[in-house]
Amino acid sequence: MNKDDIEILRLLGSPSTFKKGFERLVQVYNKPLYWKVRRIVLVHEDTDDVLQNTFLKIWSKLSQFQGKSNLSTWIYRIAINEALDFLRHKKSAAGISTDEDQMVANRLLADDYFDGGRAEALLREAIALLPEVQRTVFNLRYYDNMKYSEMSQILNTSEGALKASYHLAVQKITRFLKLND
Amino acid sequence: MNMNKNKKEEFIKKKFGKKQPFRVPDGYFDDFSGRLMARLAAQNKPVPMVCSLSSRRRAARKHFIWRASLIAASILAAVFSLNLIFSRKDARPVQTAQKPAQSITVDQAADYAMMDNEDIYTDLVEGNNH
Repeated sequence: MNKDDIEILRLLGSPSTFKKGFERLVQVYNKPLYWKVRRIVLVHEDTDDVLQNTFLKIWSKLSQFQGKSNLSTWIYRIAINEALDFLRHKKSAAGISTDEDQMVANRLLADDYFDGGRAEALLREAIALLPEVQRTVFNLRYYDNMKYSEMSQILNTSEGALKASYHLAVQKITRFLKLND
Repeated sequence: MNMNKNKKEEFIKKKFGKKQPFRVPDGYFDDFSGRLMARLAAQNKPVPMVCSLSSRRRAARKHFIWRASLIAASILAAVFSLNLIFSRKDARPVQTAQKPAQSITVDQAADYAMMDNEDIYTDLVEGNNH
């Protein structure tokens, strides 16, 4: 457990310093959580909603944290589940079809907070088309360099299955990019 | 397969690197904490009971000791059961070998002494009178 987590848990351990501890938790984790969520939901406004809900959930669930995993692993699990839940609800609410999924690149190109060109938008579309686990594993491994052992705790899946998912994700993304080049 | 995977990963890395083409509004991270704490205050969420780090470590230690004891008890039970099974198995041929030997010795002794139950009873009564 790193120094920040030890300090956060020390502050959260007493009702008189709980608020201070929670503020510290938000300061330490808001950026890493934001980027993890943003890579899944893609749009800034949606990321902001998911991030706020994630921290509200963390507040409510803190009494259930038993220290069996690192605080960061526990927090990342909540954030990723929240982001994936958000996408599921959005899809079922809008009845999004495959056609609309293919429009991810176009939507991103029209987004004020997207800095990339067509190639980057296509990469995001390729990632967005992956099944949930492959998409999450690719994002965590490729961008965060996260170890498979930690991912295994976050996603409750064996390391072997995660390695296979990453391999499949890389294969599918490459194929999609070559087809759309 | 691994080389193939690395090649494909290299293709993505070469083309895009690891940069992220996303931006956030100016000052977003500076304001985030304040906005969130205001939302929490508005919802009037109660402060949850959180175990302190030391009590969590104590609980983890207790959990470890409990599991270790359980494993030790299971091993002991297994060893004891196996021991019981094998000792029974070992005892059986010894018993069957000893039984006829014992009965032969008693019969032979009785024949040799030429005594029956009545003689034994008389001997006992006379012994008590001496």
